[in-house]
Amino acid sequence: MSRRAGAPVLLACLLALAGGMLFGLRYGIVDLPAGRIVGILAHALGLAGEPGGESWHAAVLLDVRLPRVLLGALVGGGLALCGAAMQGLFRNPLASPGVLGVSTGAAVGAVLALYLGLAAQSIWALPLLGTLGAAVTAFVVYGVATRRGQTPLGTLLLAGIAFGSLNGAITAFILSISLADYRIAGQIMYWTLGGLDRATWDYVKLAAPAILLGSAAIVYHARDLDALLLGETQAASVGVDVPRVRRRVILATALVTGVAVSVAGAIGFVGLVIPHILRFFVGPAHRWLFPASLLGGAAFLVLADLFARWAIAPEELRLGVVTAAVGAPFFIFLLLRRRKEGWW
Amino acid sequence: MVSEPILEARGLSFAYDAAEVLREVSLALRPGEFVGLIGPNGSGKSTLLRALLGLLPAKRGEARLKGRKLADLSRLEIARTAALLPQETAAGFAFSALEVVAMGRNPHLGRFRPEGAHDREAIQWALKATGTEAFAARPVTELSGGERQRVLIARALAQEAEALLLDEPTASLDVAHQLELLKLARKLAADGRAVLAALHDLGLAARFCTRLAILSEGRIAADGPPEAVLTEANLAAHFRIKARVRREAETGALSVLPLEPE
Repeated sequence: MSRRAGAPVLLACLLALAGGMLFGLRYGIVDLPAGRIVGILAHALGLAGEPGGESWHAAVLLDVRLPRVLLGALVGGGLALCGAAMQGLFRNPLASPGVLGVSTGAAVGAVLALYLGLAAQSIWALPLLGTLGAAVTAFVVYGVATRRGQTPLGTLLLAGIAFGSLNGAITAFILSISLADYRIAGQIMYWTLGGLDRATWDYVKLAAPAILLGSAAIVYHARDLDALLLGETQAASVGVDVPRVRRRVILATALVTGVAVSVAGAIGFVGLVIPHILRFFVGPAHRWLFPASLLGGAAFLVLADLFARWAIAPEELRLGVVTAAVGAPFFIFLLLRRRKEGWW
Repeated sequence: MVSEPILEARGLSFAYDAAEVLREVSLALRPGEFVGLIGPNGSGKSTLLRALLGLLPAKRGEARLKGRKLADLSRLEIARTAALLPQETAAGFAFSALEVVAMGRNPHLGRFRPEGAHDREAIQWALKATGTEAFAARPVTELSGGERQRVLIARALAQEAEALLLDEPTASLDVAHQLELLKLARKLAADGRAVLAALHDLGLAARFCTRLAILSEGRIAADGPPEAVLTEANLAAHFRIKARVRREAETGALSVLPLEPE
């Protein structure tokens, strides 16, 4: 197997994403033929006249399925990209988007929104509080780990773990005091398991700019992160302003992860393992790994969501359960097969 | 008349917290020079090289690159003129040797521009000069320590910087590759670049360098041609060894025979 199959892997990820999105739009309680999907979309974009047939088909497609697949692609791509960036920045294969505690920070905000009943009052409350929780955690972790302008990676990692645990404790505390009200506790548990079933255009409008902007900032630093993999002094020697690049990438990751977790809940596995799998095929160079992670992560989450909707229809599996249940065995399989060659 | 220095420290002091590591160091590196930076462990050699690349904030004094203060230059501007080969290296990721060497072109390429004909020439030249073409396609994680070191040297060469700072470049190399590297450094200097290398082998330093500087407890204790610097008195005072220094008929260079620690 080639370690340097950049272009074919990108193409494969793109096809998987396109196929996953098409299936996601097509199948559900009612199956919509491809021609009908095209007709409805064309009409929505003002390219064609009123499509015939049942009018509620358009509502299902445009208001339920389309925001859901778009949000799935955004969240999956964003989380996988952040995982790739964190693994590169920390030169550590165990780094994930949540390594700085931002996912757990988002969880605190989201759980608080549910507990206080704000989420029931406004659709924006949960994602906004979640993003706020992620941002506060990112800045506190960075601040704690920084002394006189220096931010050692080891300290940053430990501070991230410490605040991640603290956030976990806060989340567990809120859950424990809400147990009296079964309805609220249920909502919190449900959110914690991760899913795209809340997806609406509001969520897409909130997530898309943040995730795309953060992703662009990460991709912009691809060459710098390549050089950083050789060591900080090596990177500085080839012109990388190490502290500045690190600050920007961490900030971008916090933004993307915070928003992704806020709108889709805690979805494990994608950010940690998708970049590993893709690195195996395209090598460590970020100019390939980043686009591959974006497309591959997006495709994976859209397909996983499709499975979650299909498996026990009309009920849904929780997406976080599916990603881990599908992904972990595949990862272990690759790990066993490639153990001899070493992963990196 | 001597030419303008490419890289220069003027009364440069640097401290990690309270401990002063560099004390009023003044050192000029001119085109055509291959300067050997020698000194005992912990004398501040690596710190000085890093400070000369602008990686450490000066406590007093300043460093200048082609007459401009390092503190006023961006990392990218510095990297186009000066390259550093540090000792510290993380080689946990499976980049091919070629990809690592190509990173030396980053300061000339910016963020997204692909390599052009000149970049490829520079990379090929660097691979050839270090004898690393044979394993250019192999992942650096699979190379031996010495091979990897040569790849990193090639990375610094591919940068085509006028000033080359090498921190113990010969450390993990076998004798043949040590000689080849030092010959290469001398040739680069002869072609008009400036090389400053922290070296441990005093005999090789005396033979290949055009100038030697002793760094002792953060100060430049001696700076000049090998004959003036590598004296038995200096070795006793700064390296704490009793040693014989003599001229070898075969190489015409000084050699050092360490006898006893003082």
